Amino acid sequence: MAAIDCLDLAQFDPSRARAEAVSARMRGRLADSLGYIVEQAAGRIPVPSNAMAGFLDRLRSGPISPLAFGTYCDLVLALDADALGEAAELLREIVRTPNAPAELRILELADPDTDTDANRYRRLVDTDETQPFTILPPKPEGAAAMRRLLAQAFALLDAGNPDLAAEVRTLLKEIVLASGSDDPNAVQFEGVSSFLLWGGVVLEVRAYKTALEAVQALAHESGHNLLFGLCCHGPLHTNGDAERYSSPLRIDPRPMDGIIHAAYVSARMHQSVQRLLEADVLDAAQTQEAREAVVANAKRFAMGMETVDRHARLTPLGKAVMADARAYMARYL
Amino acid sequence: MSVPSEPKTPIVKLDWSRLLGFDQAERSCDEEAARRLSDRRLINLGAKFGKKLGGRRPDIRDIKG
Repeated sequence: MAAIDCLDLAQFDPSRARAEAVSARMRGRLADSLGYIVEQAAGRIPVPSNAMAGFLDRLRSGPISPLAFGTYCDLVLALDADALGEAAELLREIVRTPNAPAELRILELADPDTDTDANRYRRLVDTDETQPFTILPPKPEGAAAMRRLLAQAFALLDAGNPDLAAEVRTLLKEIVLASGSDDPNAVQFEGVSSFLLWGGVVLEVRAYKTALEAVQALAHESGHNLLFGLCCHGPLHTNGDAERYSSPLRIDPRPMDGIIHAAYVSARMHQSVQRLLEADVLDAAQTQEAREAVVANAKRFAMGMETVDRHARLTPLGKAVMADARAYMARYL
Repeated sequence: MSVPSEPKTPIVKLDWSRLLGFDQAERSCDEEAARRLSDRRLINLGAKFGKKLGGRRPDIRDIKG
């Protein structure tokens, strides 16, 4: 599928159908990539051909664990480094990856030192060498509280913004509950999404205190995953990866990709709350919290777009995605 | 004085333009970039961090986008 076809998927409003189309594109592209790797690797490393054929059929037919994307990334890098034994083992891991269950899974991070999946999550969210950080298993009481907040958040979305609820459940297959380091000097996070773990997000269980914050976290992290999925055939912009721009959202200069993502997810967080206000499903305290949240999100969007407008070299896909977000936000700026 | 070594061609050579995600990797980076997930070629594949939602004044550790 050509990148330009993705323009039809660039609408800003949430949609289960759009999420299903994006998921199918991502899985199809992963299947094509793995098929190509197997062709190139044949004769140089053992390839479980029959098992791989079966896996590629399963991959094309339905959602897969986010870890399949991570294992694929490890495979490409292993081959690039001539680590052929490791690559052969990664191929065997990939074909064993189960399809994702229909329901969105919420799980607690296991011990990354002893659990392979947890270890992969830990490595693949820690990708910025200038901002190294770690994720740890959450305390049981923190995980239980976060589960309650997520349940309340989905209940609000089901009542007042069902399109977003359906889109989140379609885009995301795993929400991994974790904690950051207790070291006060360590990099802290609230949520992390990665192209390399598509369909999975990591949430810091201590970062959220209210259901509305959890609503915005779902809109935010699924927004990153949506943009990753829309980019599976091409990027949002052509700015060089080494270029840095002053960001209104961070003190340190950032790549354009991060600024575009930040502006987009700010608009998505705005809409997630605005629709709950309009649907009249919030109590008095939540209504006050929501009114403050939409103002803050509108401000973040405007600041991000100022940088995008000044410096971004958007592709047709990037222009379409950001134009629709801007059209939504126009009445609130 | 050390002599720069020739870029090494992997045994299983892959055209990254055919690979999901890697097709958006920076092509002009050092060919000998270390095999790490923080490999600069993969910056657009890297993690996006959620920033603190509360009102605390942003600092260098408040990461967003």
